[in-house]
Amino acid sequence: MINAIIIEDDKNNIEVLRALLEKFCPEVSVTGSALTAGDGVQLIKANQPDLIFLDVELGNETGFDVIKNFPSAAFKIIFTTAHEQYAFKAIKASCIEYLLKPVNYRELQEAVKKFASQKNLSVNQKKIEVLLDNLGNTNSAFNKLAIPTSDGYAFLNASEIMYCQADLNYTLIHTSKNERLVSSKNLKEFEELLSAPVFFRCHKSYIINLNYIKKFNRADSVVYMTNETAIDIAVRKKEEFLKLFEKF
Amino acid sequence: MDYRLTIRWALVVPFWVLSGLLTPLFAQEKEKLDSLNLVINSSGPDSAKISALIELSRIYTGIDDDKAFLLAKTSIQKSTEAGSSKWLGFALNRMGTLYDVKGKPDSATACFIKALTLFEEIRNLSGLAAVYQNIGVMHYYQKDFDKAFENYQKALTLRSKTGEVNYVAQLYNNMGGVMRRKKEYDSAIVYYQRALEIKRGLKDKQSLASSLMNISVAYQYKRDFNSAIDYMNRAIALCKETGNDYDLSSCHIGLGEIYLKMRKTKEAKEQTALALALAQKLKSNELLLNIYEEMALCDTLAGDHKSAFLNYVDAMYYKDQVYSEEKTKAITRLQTFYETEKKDKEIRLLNIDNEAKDREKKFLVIILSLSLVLLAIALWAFFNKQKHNRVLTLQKKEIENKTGQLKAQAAQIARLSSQMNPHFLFNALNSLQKFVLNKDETSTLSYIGDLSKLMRATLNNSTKEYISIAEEIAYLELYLSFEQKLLGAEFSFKIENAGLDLLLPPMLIQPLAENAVKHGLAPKQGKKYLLIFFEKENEFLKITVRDNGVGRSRGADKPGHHSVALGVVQERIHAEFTKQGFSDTVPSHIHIHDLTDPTGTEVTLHLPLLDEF
Repeated sequence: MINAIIIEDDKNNIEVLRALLEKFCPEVSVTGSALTAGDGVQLIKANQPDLIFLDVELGNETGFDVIKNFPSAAFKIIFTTAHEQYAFKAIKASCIEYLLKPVNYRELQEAVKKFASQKNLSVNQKKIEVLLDNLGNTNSAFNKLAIPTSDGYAFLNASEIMYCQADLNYTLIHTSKNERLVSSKNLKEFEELLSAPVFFRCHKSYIINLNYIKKFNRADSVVYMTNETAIDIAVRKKEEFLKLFEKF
Repeated sequence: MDYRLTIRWALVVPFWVLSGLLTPLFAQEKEKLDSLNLVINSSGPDSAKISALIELSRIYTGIDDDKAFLLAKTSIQKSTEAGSSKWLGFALNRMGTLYDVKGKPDSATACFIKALTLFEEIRNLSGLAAVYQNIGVMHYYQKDFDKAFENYQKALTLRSKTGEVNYVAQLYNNMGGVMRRKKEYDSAIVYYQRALEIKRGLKDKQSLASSLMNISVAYQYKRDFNSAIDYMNRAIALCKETGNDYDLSSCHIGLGEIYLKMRKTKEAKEQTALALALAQKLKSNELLLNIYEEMALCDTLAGDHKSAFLNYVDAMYYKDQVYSEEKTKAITRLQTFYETEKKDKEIRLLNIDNEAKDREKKFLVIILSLSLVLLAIALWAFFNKQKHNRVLTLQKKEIENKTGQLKAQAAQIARLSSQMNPHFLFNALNSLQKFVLNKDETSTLSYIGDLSKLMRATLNNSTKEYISIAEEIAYLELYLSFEQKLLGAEFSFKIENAGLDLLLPPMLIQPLAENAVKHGLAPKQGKKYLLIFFEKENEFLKITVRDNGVGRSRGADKPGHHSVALGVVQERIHAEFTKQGFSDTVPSHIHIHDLTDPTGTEVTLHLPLLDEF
C-alpha cells in the first residue's frame, strides 16, 4: 500500500480526492489530511508518508512553505492547483507531477502510476531543489531546469544552455560544455520556460541563449554561436532580434 | 523664463510633502538605522521586529530600492508567520508603495487592496487610512489628481475619527499639493493653512517650516508676491530657530526666486548669497545647482553676461553631479523594466532614438550662431531642453504604455465576449443531472473532467492574442466532441487543414461552429455533419464552416437576421485586418451561403496570412 496524505485548504476538495482515490486507485491508502501548512508539516512528521497530494495555495500560505521544512525529503509530491500562474510554471520547470482541479480520475490514475514507477528518491529531491531555487529568485526567467530524457532526468542551470533545437516532437539541448541532451518535451514547452532577457525564440526550430552569440551576419541573417554553430534568424524575427541589441 | 522656475519648484516641493522619495540619508536617519537594526537582531517581540523592518524599508526607499524590497518581503513573511493581520496589512502597504515607486501600478494596487481587505476585517482604522493615503500618493504621481484627492479624503475621514492629528496635517498638506497641481491656488492655500494650524498646535517646528514654504510657493504661483515673501520670511525665521540649514538654504533660494519674478535682481542676489554660504557648508549638489542657476539668471537680468556665463558653468558642473546620481537610479529601474517588459522597451528605444536625433539637430543650429554671451544662453537652453525632453519622453512613454494596456484589454474583452454561449453550459449541466439521476458515477466524472478541460482551454485562449492553427483545431475538437455527447451518434464532424502553419486570433471559429450546431444541426433529423477547412486562397487564410443542417430559412437564424455572435466575429476580423495594415478596401471578410442540394449553411471567412516565423 502507498501511504499517502492530503494537504489542502478546502475540506470538500479533501473529501473528493479521498473518494476518488478509494474508488480508482485502491493501492493508495490516505492516512491523514491537513488544512494548513503548519498542520501539514506536523502530519508529515507523524505519518512519514510516501506520497503527498499538496495544494499550491493554502490560504495565505503555499504548499512550498510545507516542503521547505524537509530539505532531504523521503516523500514524493503530486501538486494540485486550480489555475495556472507563475508558481505553476515553476512546477513545470521542475518536472514534479501536478493535477489540475477539478481532479480528473484518469489523470489521477496516470499520476499515481507514474509515482509507483519512479523509485529513485534522489531524483525526487533534486526536483524539489530545482523548484525551491526557482521560486526563490524574483526574475521572470528560471535558473534551473529538470529535463526529462530517455533514461530519467537531467538537471541543468539555464545559463549552461547554449541553444535548443526542435527535432519533431523532441528537443535537442546543446550546452556550453558541448554536451547534447535529447528531451521528450517539445520546443514550445521549452519556450515557456526559457524566456527573455536571456533566451530568444529566433526561429521555428531554435531557441538561443543571447549570452552565447559570437557574431551576427546581417546580410544572411545568421548568428554564430561561441561554438561556431550557425543558426538562422527567421525573417519575421529579425527586427525584434536587432532591437534586443540596440540597447548595448 | 517662468517655465524654468516652474520646473525647479515642481522638483523640489513634493519631496518635503511626501517624506523623502529621493532625499539623501541624514545623520539622524543613520542613527535611527542603527537602532532599528538592533531591534531586528534582538530577541524582542515579533511585532517590534516587523515594525522595525517596515520602517527600515521606508528609509531605504529611493536610496537602495532592492534592499527596501527585500526588507518589505521579509516583513510580509514574518507577519504571515506570526499570524498578525495588522502587521501583514502594514507590510503589504509598504510593498505597495515600493511597487508604485518602481513604476508597477498593477502590483502596487494588488498589494494595497490586500492590505485594505485585512484592515477592513479587523476594523483597523489607522491601517485603512495609511493605505488610502498611499493609494492617493500613487495617483498623485500618475497625475490622476481627482482620484488622489478622493483617496486622501477617505484617509482624512478615518484619521479624524482616530484623532491622529499629525496625519491629518500631513493629509491636508498632500491635498494642498493636489490643488496646486490642479492650478487651484486658492484652495491649495486653504488646505496648507489647515495643515499649518494643526502643526502649530503640535509645536512641530520642522514641518511647520515646510508648510510655510508650501504656502509661499502657492502664493508665488498666484503671483501674489507680497504674501509669498511674507510666508517665506516666516519659514526662514523658523528654520533658523530649529537649525535646519538644508531647509534654510532652500528658503533663501525660494525667496530669491520670488524677487527674480519681481525683477528685483539686487534683492535676489542677496538671497542667493545667503543660500550659497549654507549650501557650500552642507556640500549639497542639488542646492548648489539651484543656486548657481539662479545666480546666472540674476546676472542675465542685470546685463552682466560674463558673470552669467561663469555661473552657468558652475551650475552645469553640479547638474552633472545631480544628474549622474539620478541616472544611476534610472538605470537600475530601466533594467527592471527590461527584464519584465520587452515590448515596452521597444517603444522606449524608438522614442529615445527620435528624441536624440531631434536634439542633435537643434544643438548644431545653436552652435553655429554664437558669440560669448550667446554661448552661455545656448548652453543653458540646451540643458534646459534636455530636461524638458526627459520629461516629455517619460510622459510619452507613459501615454503609449497606457494606450497599449487599454488596447490589450479591449481585445481581451472582445475575445471573452465571443466565448461560447451560456446555453451550452446549461445543456451540459442538464446532461450531468441525467447521469447523476442514473447513478452513473464514471460517466459523471469523465463528463465533469471534459467540461473543465474545455473551460480551461477557453480561458487560456481568451488571454492570447494569437494561437496557431494546430491549437485552434485542438480546441475545436475538444468543443465539438462535447457537442457530440449532447447530440448523440448521429452527429459527426471533420476538421481539415491544408498543411498550413499560421497564426490566427483565438475564439473566432468556435462561435460559427456553435451557430451551425444550434441553428442548423440540432433541429435536423437524421445524419448531421459539420465540416471545417483551413486553406490558403489569394494570399488570405480561408476558413470554411459547413453543415448539412436545416438551413437559415428554416432555422432560427433567418437570412437578414444577424446574430450577435456573427457581429462580434465580423468586428474582430475587421480589427485584425486594420492591425495588419490593410485599408478598408476589403468590404466583408465573412460570407454566408445557403446550400440547397442537400440543404445546409456554409460560412466562409478570410483572414490576413500571419506567420510566426
